[in-house]
Amino acid sequence: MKNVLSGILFLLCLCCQRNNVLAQQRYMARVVDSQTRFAIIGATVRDSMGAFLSASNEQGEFMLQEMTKGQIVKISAMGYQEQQSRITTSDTLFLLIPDSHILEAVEVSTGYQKISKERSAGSFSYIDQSLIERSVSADIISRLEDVTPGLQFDKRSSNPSNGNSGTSLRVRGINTINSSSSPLIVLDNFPYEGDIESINPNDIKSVTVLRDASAASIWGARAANGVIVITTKSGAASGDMKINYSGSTEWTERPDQYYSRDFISSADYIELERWLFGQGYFDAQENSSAQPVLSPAVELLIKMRDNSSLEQQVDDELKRMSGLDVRRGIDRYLTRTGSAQQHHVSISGSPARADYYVSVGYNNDLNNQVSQSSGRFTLTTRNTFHVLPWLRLKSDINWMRGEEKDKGLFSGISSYPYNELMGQDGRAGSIYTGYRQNFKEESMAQSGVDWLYRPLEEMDRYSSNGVTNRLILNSGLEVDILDGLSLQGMYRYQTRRGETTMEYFSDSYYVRNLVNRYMQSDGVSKFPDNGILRLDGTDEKGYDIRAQLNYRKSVGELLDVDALAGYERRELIQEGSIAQYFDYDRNLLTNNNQLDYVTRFPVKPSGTARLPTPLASLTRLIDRNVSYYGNIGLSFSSRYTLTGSLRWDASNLFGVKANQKGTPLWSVGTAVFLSSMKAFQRPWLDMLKLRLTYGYNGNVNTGASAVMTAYYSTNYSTGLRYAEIRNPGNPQLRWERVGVWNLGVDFSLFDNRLQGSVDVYRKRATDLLGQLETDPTNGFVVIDQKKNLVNYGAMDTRGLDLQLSITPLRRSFEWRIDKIIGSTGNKVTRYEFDALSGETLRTRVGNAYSGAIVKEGVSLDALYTLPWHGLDEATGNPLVMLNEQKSQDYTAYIAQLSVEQLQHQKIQVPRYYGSLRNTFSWKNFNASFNIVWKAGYYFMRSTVNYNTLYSMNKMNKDYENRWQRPGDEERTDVPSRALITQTNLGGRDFVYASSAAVMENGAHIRLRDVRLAYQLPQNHSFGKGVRATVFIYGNNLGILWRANKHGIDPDLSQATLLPGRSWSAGLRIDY
Amino acid sequence: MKARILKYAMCLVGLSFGCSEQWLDVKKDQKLIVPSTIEDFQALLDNTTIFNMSDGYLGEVSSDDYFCQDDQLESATESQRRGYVWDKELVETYSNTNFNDWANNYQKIFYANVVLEGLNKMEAKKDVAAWRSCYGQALFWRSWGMFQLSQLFCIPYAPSGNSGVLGLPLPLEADINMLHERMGLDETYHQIKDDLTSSIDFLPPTSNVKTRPSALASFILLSRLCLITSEYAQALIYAESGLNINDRLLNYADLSSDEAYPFVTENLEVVLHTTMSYLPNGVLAEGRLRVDTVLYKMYNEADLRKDRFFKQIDDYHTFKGMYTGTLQFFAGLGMDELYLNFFEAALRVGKRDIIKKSLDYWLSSRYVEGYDLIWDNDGDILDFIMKERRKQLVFRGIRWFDIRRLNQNEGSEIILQRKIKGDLITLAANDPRYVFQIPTNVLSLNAKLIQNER
Repeated sequence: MKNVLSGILFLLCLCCQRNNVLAQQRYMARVVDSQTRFAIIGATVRDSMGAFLSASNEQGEFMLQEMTKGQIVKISAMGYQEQQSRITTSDTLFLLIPDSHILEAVEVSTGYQKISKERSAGSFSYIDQSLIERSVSADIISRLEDVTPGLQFDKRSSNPSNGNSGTSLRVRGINTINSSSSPLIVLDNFPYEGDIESINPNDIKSVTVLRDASAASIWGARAANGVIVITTKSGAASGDMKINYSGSTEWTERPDQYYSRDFISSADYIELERWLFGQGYFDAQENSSAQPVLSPAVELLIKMRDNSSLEQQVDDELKRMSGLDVRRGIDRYLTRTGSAQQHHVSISGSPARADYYVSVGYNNDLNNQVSQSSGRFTLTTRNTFHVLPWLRLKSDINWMRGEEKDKGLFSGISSYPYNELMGQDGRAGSIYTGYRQNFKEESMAQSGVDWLYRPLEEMDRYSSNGVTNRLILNSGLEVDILDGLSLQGMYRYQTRRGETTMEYFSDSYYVRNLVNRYMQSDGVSKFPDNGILRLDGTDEKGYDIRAQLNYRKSVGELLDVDALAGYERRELIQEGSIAQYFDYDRNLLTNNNQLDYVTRFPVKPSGTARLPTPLASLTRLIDRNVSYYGNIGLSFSSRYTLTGSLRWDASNLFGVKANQKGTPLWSVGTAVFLSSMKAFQRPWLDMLKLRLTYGYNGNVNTGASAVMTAYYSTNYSTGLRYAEIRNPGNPQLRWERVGVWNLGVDFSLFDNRLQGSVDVYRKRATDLLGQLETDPTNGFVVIDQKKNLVNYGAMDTRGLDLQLSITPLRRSFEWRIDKIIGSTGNKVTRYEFDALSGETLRTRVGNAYSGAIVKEGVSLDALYTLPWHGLDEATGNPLVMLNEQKSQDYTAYIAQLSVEQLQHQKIQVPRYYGSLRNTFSWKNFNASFNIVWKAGYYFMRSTVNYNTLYSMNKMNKDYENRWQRPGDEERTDVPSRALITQTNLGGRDFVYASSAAVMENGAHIRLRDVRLAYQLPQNHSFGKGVRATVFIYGNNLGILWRANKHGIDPDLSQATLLPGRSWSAGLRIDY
Repeated sequence: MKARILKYAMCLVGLSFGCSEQWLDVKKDQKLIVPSTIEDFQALLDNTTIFNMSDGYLGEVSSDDYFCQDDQLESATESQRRGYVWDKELVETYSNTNFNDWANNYQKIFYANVVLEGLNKMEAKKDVAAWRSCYGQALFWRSWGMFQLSQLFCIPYAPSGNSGVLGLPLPLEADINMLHERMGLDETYHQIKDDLTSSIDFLPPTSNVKTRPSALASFILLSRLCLITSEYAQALIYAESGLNINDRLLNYADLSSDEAYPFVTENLEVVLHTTMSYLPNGVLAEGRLRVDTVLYKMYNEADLRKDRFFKQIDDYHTFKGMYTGTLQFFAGLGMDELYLNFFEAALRVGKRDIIKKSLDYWLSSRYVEGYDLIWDNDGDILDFIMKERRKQLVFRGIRWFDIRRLNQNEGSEIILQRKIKGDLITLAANDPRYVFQIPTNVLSLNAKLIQNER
């Protein structure tokens, strides 16, 4: 009995002991879904102040250390309502109620604040992390293509084979004529004008596009073109330390050389050269003392003419050349399959009182062109310290280093289709360029310096090495002052230094050409027979300072207030320098620029010239901006929202009077949750929200000036400084303004199986700056850098953005469709001055860029073309209508040409565009593919121009389809080849090449990409707690259907070659 | 603690408020300026692209210094061909249509007006040498531009009177938004002369930088102008004033005739260096130009210019005697013209004695040693001088207005002829085609201008 009692006492004591221990040490608890009782993984537990305490594991369990009994904790998880409870006992079971009525609690960042998407009235496109991670490109902007509603990529001037990426972005169409139409890019909190390619997409958590006035007005004078806000990853709310690795390799096919339209078969080309030769076309060149280059075929024809016994030999050789094709050589020797690798490792976490994120990334890219490669290295840290309950400090460091290399200079390789890159003798073939080949051969026999251009030997005789180092330091503090009121201060410093070293080795053609040209009769050249070095440097430094007051409070039960007001200023200084060194010896690192640049030396082949002076230039640009801004959002009983913003901007635009340097911009907006009203309540309606906003955004044009400005340069022949008038001055200068209306509906039906939003918008731009042509009698001619900008224009832009997410199947096999449709169009509503005419007009018709011709009532993107009347049946000449009769007097036609005679119903930028993405998931597999389409636009097909074909060998495929005999005018629109007398009538080529005959419909459907991913089972050999995913991704997979019958890719209508398809394989590990 | 932080923050904000005005006044591009100092204006005047590289081509194309063979003509550009055959419809198709003789010269006038207005705002400095020099240069250039235009776009000046005859629009202010009308011909010539005579007060006698005008340049241009208006006594005065400043000539015997270009750029005979616009596909281009055979025959064996100006090519000759030392044509002012103006003016007013010494000097520089001239009557000497003028001032754009004035004032009946594919075409003396049409794009932008008849 006594033993039993003591035993029980002992046990009791133990229990008490245990209880006491618990009271001071730790609690175990579990979080589950209230309906399914499944464990909720990753639910966050915070204390009453919001400081992070713990997160639940795969079993839904979490542990709390050092808690006092009865302490309040808040438990929240995505898709569930937050719960606040007291911890009383261990093993508490928390039931969280799923809230399928809330839109995925998306928090969008405007760059000034984070707001929940549901609470705002603005129009946002939100790209979340999984969508960013879906593709593998090295820069973030490409990853936004075809998945972002309202964002269009305009690649009309893109020609990848020239290294010209020429892509411009448009958010909801265009609403300016002469100023920039690029959206503002914001990185975390501040505008980012640096190169977007330097941000590692693996560090990016989400991208938000601010599309309407309410969303974008906060950015004021830079927001008229929309704002793209990039938010980088941080440690916030990630709980225990997480380690992540992502890596991938991407192979890109060689571009298809045979796609190029700039080609004529060697056989046809030689036949053309024979024909021209017979007409004496090359006589003047042959007799010129300047010895301009003549093609190999023409040289042979000359030999044949001068010595008839060689006829058979020449014929045989020409026949052999007819079978050559330089594209084979290019494909074989100058291109390769591209391969790019990415590796990225990040560690993040949020222990008590701190959030941290550290990452390291590496990219390496071996380009399709054998001589080019690049690499990038990034290091990022983002930390937030909760120093005191009311004080938070933030500190970020972001460092990037990039390198771009190029090892050879190749130009003019396709000057003649029969060029041989590799000669029959096994030695690199020489290509005729610059001067006549025999002249060069004679000269080099005397000078001893080779003057021939052999492209394949040029590899490694040139080296270009560009290194960029960029550093961004971001720091901030946030102080909670009063109940709901906090003060934020932020400072960002960025610096970027780029250095490109270009070296022309002494045996490169570039140097040998100069040496030979300046070779004197004594056998010594005035140009040093050594390398040339060129150093280009750019330096950027800037800072942004911001002071902002935030106020967030719930007043009573019904009203929530979210307001902010602030001040910011920024400065960005960009400096550039170019320096060139002659007589550069790479081993001794010596150079000599002390050459005689004044004397005119005799040069080959004829005449005299001074030595080229080494390049040297310095530039400095300073941008300064000051702004005051405020924003307020009121939310009534979670049903109605009212927002407003106001901003005043000023900048150091040169010459603008002080009181015009700034301008106020504002917006108002409202949103209503119709689904919370009784009238709209339906079982299948989860959420229905209506939004309406209106406001003004502004646009800046730094080329305008209220006073006359002139630009200094140095004249190298006189040694004197001279100035050029760039801007005659316009005292009436005003800012461009855009008034934006947006009406939007967000909805979610059938338990989130159908979600989406529709936005309809209208933008009215006024006070648009435009180039004003003035009477040349006044002496100011608008051309090149000279501008005369006057606020005379207005235009209207309207459109629709639709975004839908449908999940037809949602069981173990899930099928989800994401659809985006956009439609946008614009019209110039006010353009005050007379249209262009005659010769000036001629240079603008048929141009592949918007705004060459501006006409009231017509879209800015209109494609202006001449009407086409067919070919003459006797000669194959193009016909024009002059005085209502068919005529061939092109000169008279052009002289009387006016804008009214042009056709302009078609536009150059897709009016309708969209994408359809299907995603399938089953168990651990995930597959998706994206089909994109564009319609409602036209482009000009590149076609033959006989003038440039004869004089500059600019070939075009259409030549082979030309009119050759009567009757052909029924089957082709390509005019017959021009007689020599006709080539100088630039008019004959113009009336064809700028006419409707070469206008093509750009509509097409394309398979953009395909992705297959497999998530390895969790208890794989990698270990517990490790999640690994492997994926295969194919990009740029080809056009499924196109309207044009010439096989041209309408997206890249001016590109010579298309980028090839690419395939990647990658791995992601989360631990 | 919180309150203090708040206070500091407010101070920071307040400070920033304070200094924003000047802070925003910094220039965006450090190379951009508002022209306001004398250096700025001199820099504007030193813009050689505007002032020194775009003088008239049109007149030379239509003159008889050269001819072009049929097959060569076929391959020249359209506008050049039309210019060659004196087509009624001349098409300005330079690579950028805005760059034509009309626009080029009015640009000079615009820059000159900008400088004049700017300098006038700096009255205080008008005793500074640099100010005066700039002012004079601007006056000269304005006059130069108007002169070039007057010879291309207006009918020849008639000494007897030009009432009702259209001249040029005369912008005297740098305002690009104005629409000018054409003034009378008398007014036009008056303006040109006024600017030149005023410029003499401000310009230094000579200039080391030969792309800049000098008083000497003004005198040469004035003597040229007065020959055109038949004011021979005036022309003589100006020519003498010029010779007082400088009277050196090159001795052609010192120059080698083997060189591709025997003359060096900015040689000592060059007073103002300007060139014609360079058009590689024009009729005057190297491969095409052939020296007129009648002209070539005028150079006898003793004439040193024969081998230094011309080079044999096929059965004909081409020109290599440019005072630019390259294939660009010289269009500026030289001592040789000054001498010839002097000779002609003196002879026309009957003062042949004063030219003897200079004429000897001239002959010694252009002919082999020992070449003599027989002095008989005035008429013969004048003939000889006019022939010298014809032989010396070739391919300089001078022949054009010489033909115009000689036909108009002296009744010379110089008729131009060209043979195109066997057909002979003629440009009669005082034909309306001695005047060019104002470019159509100018007319479309300014309805007040009246087009020329052609």
